[in-house]
Amino acid sequence: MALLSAAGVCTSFVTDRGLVRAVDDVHIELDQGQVLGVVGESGSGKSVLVRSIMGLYRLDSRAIRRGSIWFDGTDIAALSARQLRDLWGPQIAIVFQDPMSALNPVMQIGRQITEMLRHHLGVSRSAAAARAVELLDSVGVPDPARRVREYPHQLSGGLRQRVAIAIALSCEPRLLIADEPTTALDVTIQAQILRLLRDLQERLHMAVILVSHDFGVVGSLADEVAVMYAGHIVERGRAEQVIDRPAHPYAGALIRSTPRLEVPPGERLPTIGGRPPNLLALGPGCPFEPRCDRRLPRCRDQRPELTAGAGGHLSACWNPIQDPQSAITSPDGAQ
Amino acid sequence: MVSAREPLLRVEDLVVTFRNPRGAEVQAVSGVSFDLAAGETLGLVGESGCGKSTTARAIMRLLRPSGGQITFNGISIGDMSARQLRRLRPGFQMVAQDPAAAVNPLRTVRKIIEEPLRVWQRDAQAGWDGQVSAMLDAVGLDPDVVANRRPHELSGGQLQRVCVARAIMLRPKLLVADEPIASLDVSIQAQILNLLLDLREQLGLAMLLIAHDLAAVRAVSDRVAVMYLGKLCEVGPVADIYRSPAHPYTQALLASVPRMSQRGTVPAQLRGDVPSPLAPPSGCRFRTRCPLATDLCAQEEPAIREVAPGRLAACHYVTGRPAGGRAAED
Amino acid sequence: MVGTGQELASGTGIVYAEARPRSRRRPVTLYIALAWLGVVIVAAVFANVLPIQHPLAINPAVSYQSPSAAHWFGTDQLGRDLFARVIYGARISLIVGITATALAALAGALLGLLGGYIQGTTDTTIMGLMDVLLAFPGIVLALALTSFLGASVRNVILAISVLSVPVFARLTRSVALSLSQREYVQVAKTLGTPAWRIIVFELGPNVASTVLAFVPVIVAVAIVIEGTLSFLGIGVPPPTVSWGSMIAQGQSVFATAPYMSLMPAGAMFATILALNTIGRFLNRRSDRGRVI
Repeated sequence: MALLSAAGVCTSFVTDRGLVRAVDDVHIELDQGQVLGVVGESGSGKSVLVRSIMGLYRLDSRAIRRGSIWFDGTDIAALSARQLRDLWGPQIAIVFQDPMSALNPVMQIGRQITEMLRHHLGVSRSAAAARAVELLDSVGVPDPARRVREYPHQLSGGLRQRVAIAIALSCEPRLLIADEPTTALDVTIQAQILRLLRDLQERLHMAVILVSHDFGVVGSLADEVAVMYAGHIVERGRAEQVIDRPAHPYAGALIRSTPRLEVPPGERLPTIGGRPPNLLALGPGCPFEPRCDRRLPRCRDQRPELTAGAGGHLSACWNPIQDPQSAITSPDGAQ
Repeated sequence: MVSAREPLLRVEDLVVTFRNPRGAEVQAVSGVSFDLAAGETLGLVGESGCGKSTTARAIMRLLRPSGGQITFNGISIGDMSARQLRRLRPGFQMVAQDPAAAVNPLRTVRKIIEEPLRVWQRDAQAGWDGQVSAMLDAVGLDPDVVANRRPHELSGGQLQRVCVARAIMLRPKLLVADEPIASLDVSIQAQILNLLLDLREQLGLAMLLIAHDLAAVRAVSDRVAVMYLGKLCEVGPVADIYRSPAHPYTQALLASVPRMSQRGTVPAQLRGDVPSPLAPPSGCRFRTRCPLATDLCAQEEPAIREVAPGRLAACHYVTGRPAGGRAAED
Repeated sequence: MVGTGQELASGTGIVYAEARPRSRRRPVTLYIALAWLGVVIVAAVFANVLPIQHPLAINPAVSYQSPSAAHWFGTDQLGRDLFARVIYGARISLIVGITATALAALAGALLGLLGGYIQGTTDTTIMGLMDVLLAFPGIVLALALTSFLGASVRNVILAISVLSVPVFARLTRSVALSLSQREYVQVAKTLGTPAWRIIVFELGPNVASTVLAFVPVIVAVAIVIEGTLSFLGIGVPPPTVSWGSMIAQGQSVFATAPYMSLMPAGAMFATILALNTIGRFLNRRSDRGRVI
């Protein structure tokens, strides 16, 4: 049985400009130990999606939620707020883009870990303290016994993110959600954090949902990849399928327009024409249609569902890319 | 750094020092030198704390360098008075990271782009509208749609185009772009990069592009300079450097970028964190994280020198691993 | 971070507008305040043509009359109609209050902008001057000025505006300091924009909304100061009618003819309250980043 099974997830927000459908009819399935990458630009709904899965909008009166979210056999949507909070930590944990907002600036980092341990697992004070040092060590914080007493502002961005990961993993959750965990970090630190996530994921056999706008980041860790646009999943499949042979025009265009180290310098990059979607005024058809160079007349009137294509993976398109040529091989084949 | 004629911009031993709130001195830039020829694009890359943005701001004279020389068009602007400098301003302009913050939120787009003409009273008033429309066209915006809008009605990508339009209004010879695409979405980044490429061709602009995104720099630059903790590690043609980097930091930087072509593998990691600029390591500043570091690196700072025609690097062991050097991690 | 709040337009053109909190309606008190102020202003402006009695008409026969149909607010010791006097007193209060505040706002804003933008010695000097002004007890300074220059409406305005300059100077200085760091001010510098242009066109409009939000409150303070000065006898000289002097005149007979002091005091109180209410509302809007 899948660890996470979310169906028909819709999250909309009431704003004074109208109703914003941030996430519209999304299905997600994830097994224990599997890594799912969710790729999209801002406004795609990827962050709202994972927060919805966690149930973070329960207390937000401006959010309208629909859909069923089954986690480990339990319907999360039916849980009380208290039960939901008990889930956070031991079952599901989240790491955010900005570690500074996840960490309490006036609390020693050791204490932030021990609070989690003692609250959720009822561990004794001394055992929690010892475990906190262990955890910091396991996430690669140097000199953990000393660092335990430090405050977030005394640490670098990379170290803070490691601490945030340590806190998230302190109760060994079944599912870890990482929302743009490395976007705010330097590229060399990003590589360290990605490795850390991979090692931890392997060791703890966690399920991971990794959200990013960067295909490279997602590609390094994910087994499965889902591409989001305007609140919908427009493509989903195994990482090699989606990245090497994208079927959805948006996914293909996004991959092609990403500047890469391999492309000869000075060449113009292919771009996606048009403007990003206005979530307040989406028509009945495919949300990408106005910008799509493969559009057909029916794309305007009817929104395509996710269906299996020639490549073997799912895409929501009436006219998916059939061309088997990889979007990312460079002219000379070298890296 | 030999060039047939005088470079458009020459930076020599630039030093910029700040005082932090506790009174300690921090050298954000510690002796950086490079040239920029007319019409050339130099990418300045590095991670946070390397001093690239500070270098850009020093060149734009948004702050006063603490040492060294900056020569623009043959004139030394490093310690020129603000008044004298003002006359030279039209020659070198800037585009910054956050377009929304770089425009006065109360102004219309037309007024924003017109402002350089207004300040310098270039051409008669009657001609401004035409110039504004032409400039909006040149940066890919429709004047009829955009000219009378206010910043909050435009997207980040559109605003950045407006900022570029404003910057080239006075036909500068040099454009300093400080992380111009960092705050934009991926698909918009490509558009702005293309715009910069086009303008470079059309106007013969020289450009100093500061960015942390190596791939973006590659797309637009002729040469690239890599900085670490206030110092230059390596300078040279971008294709050469990216294909075979000479400096260990450049190698690590390039190896750290996750490639789509290398799915399923985590990129190589450089160990450790950047040392604090308050107390940079002795000798070579990169030595604390360098797989090739030896005692020599701690004792003697490597000077930046030519290691191949047109290529400079600051490392004792550019040509290969030293005997007894520590093995690289992973 | 996308989520429940605003998502800035970073290349998407979408702004998830911050959902307004439920209590979005303007408070009723604001409308009452505006209405009262409107009445006072209209009455003061059109005092000459209103069908009221002459404020200076002496009629000893009807002195110390309680409020009645003939004299809505009663009469004072010389039989002058208090209702008319309160209205004419409003005139002075408003003239002094608004003029003094306007002068102070202009001078203070200019000084604050200069200090906040140029910084360095200019800033230290200006702020030092402001500190000196603030250190003086207001009344003492006003007293000194009016006794030195002579008591007149003009001098009262001058004294009060001098007192109020530091408030505006400090306010605009802090705004100018933070705005000077903003990217668009830096860009203006790189464009070669001269300092005066930056101050007037880039900083000025952005400072204006903060200043305007403060104006009603300072007008209220100015009115109080004028009232106090007049109460002490060093404000506007007779025969000009002022709420303050009216209150003073009614002081000795408060037990028998309380209306003499209460009517002007009441008018003053209501006006101050109205101004403060409006000022609070404007301040809240300004805090939320709304340009007026």
